[in-house]
Amino acid sequence: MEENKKAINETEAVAMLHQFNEDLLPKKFGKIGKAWVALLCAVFLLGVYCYIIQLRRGLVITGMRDFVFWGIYISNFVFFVAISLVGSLVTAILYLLKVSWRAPLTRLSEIIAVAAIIFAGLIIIVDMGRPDRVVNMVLHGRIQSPIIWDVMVVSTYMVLSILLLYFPLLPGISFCRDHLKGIPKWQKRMYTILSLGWKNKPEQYKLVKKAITILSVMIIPVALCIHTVTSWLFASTYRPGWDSTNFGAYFVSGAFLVGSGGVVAGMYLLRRFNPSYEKYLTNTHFDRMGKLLVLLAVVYAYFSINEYLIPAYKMKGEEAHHLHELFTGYYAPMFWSVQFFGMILPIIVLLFKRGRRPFPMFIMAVLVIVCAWFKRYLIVIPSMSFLPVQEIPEAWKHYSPTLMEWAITGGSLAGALLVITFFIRYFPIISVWEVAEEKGVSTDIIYKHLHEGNEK
Amino acid sequence: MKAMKNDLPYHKSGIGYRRIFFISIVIGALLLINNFTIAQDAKDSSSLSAGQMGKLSFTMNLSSLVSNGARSVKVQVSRKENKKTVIVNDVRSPFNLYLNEVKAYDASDGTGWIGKLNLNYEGEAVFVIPDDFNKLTAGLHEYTFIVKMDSDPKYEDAEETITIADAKISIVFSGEDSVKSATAILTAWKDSAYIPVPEKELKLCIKRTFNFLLFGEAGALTDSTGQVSGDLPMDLPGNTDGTIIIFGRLEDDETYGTVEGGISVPWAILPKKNPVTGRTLWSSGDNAPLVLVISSVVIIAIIWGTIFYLVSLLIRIKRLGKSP
Repeated sequence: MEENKKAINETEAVAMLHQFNEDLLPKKFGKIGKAWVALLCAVFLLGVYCYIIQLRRGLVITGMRDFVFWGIYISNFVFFVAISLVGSLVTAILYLLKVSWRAPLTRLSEIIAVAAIIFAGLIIIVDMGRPDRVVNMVLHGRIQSPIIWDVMVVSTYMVLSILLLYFPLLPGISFCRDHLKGIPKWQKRMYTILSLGWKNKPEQYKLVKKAITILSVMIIPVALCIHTVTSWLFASTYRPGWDSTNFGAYFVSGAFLVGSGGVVAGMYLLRRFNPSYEKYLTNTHFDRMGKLLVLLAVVYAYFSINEYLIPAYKMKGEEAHHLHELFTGYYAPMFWSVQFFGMILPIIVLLFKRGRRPFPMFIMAVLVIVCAWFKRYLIVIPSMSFLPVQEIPEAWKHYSPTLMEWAITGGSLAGALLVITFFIRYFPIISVWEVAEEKGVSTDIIYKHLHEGNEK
Repeated sequence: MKAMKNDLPYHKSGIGYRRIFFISIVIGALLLINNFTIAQDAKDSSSLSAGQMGKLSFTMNLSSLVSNGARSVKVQVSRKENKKTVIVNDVRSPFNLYLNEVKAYDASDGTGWIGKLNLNYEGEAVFVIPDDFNKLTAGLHEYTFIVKMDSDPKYEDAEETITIADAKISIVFSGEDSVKSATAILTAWKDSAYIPVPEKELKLCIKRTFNFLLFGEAGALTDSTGQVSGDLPMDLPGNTDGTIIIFGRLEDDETYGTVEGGISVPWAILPKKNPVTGRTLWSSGDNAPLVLVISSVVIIAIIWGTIFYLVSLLIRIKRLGKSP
């Protein structure tokens, strides 16, 4: 993108800004978009309905019992936390490293982070069974407990992610406020409230940039904490498969991988359903994200080998039982599928330039995401299924999620996708002013002309 | 999102390539869901066999508890399978509870349908009768509870009845002497007054966190005045507020059900402190290590202080928008 940073005269720059605004304003959904929203709403509402049944009848409607008391709710929580880390990777890390091609990806990654972390918090409350007991965490929580650290760090990360999404969005909201015509009153009012009276003043931009820099610095350690603490929930509990000092790094590396997969999938779908995005989410972006995915998958593979090879070398006690179940036992098909499709295959495919084209990238990203979900299942459930206790009923050792659990979990996933979908519908998913800066338009021209646009 | 109205033209050149990838995904997905399918099949086969054999029957056991006037009815469901008693916890239809007769609720005297129960994981359901309902039925001194279940897809219809006579237990505590003792008095309603009930095994208990501690003579029967007495253990630690709760308990009596009555009395011996002294990672929240508390508070203060500063930037942005 460096070639774009050549001097651009004012006329060219203004025309470019007008074109950006034209291309990147949110637009109404077509039939496919509406069908997608209807599908997500249906799945989400089914999840809400099943959750109401769970509230009335208790956690007995789930497959969780005395041994496996963390089921797919918790593995889903870990998945959400993992995918939310992409906000810090693309927005903060690439921002601080001054990576020149990041601008069109930042908002997409940040909305994925926000949606995921909101539903991570909600699914934990679902897992608690009694939502009224959330207050007990505050009243009676022990600061020594990783669960309390998790509550603190999830809420902090949620606030930081929302702020990191919101600050750079202010010029975009004000543009929607002033230039989107024929929209309902509530939508106009929403833009008016959320834009905070934005006037495109240089002083306002200065404050926004200052906030982005502070947030980018601060969100990285918090993001690392959130998934490290989540890993400690397991590592500090005595169960085979969790007794690991490698867990923090293992979780964080896996989180960056799945988060990047989420961004790639989002990029592809945006281009697929709105061709005007092809100018901004180019093949070069896919190529570079592909290389990033390979790097992250290799790092994750390194920590995965560490995680399984050393215990497998020793094969001691209950660890041996646990590893046999994963490698050759009940969970073996899922375990090896996840390793191959979620890690090895993406590395192989994305190493080649042809593999880093949008469609193969999309397929690899979807595989990474789906396998990441099942990987969390494999981290949580098999470890809980085995305890060295004799004379216990056979049924206690097995866990099979009930349809209610699937519905609630599916509802949470649909809810997160709904947040992202509605965001794309009502807000610019690519930041015009950041893209303009990246393409070499001077800040003076942006401040002066960004607010001009062809009214829609 | 214009393209959502008008789909992109189909790229013929990518058809074969895409097919391969889609087939790969389908194979992968099939492998991934393999475990769940097996588990689901196992469940389905068990329900199928039940359907082939017709509906199953079960045994319903009803019991009543009155504790200091608060009444509850408990249903326990089990059945015989291969000469073993197994818990039944998968009845989908609710169990309807009626007072005195199976009919709609009668607001004038509280009789008829009073609620429905769903079994828990252990094949039990407890219906706690609300206080206002107890007031409504205060004039009754004999209760017939009827529990009825019908139209379940797996189990036969069932109905069970229990009749409970009104009884209560009062406690007299003597704590002034060096020996502390308590007397429980069991009385039951007969004709127009509560009269002592003799020859009933009445337990004297002290309430503990998860259960109760028995004191006095084991298996003692009430005398002609309906009384049983016993001495309390003097070295027993009480509650943190300097009290203990003592009560009498008549268990599973065929006439009166389970009846409890007790009082809270002052007690000098306070509970022993946790022998683990000092601030440790495994202590209570109040005894967290100071280093941990201070470092946590400092980190939280720095991060949230910065967040509040960022919110103040938003306020400044808004003010700048208002200025000319």
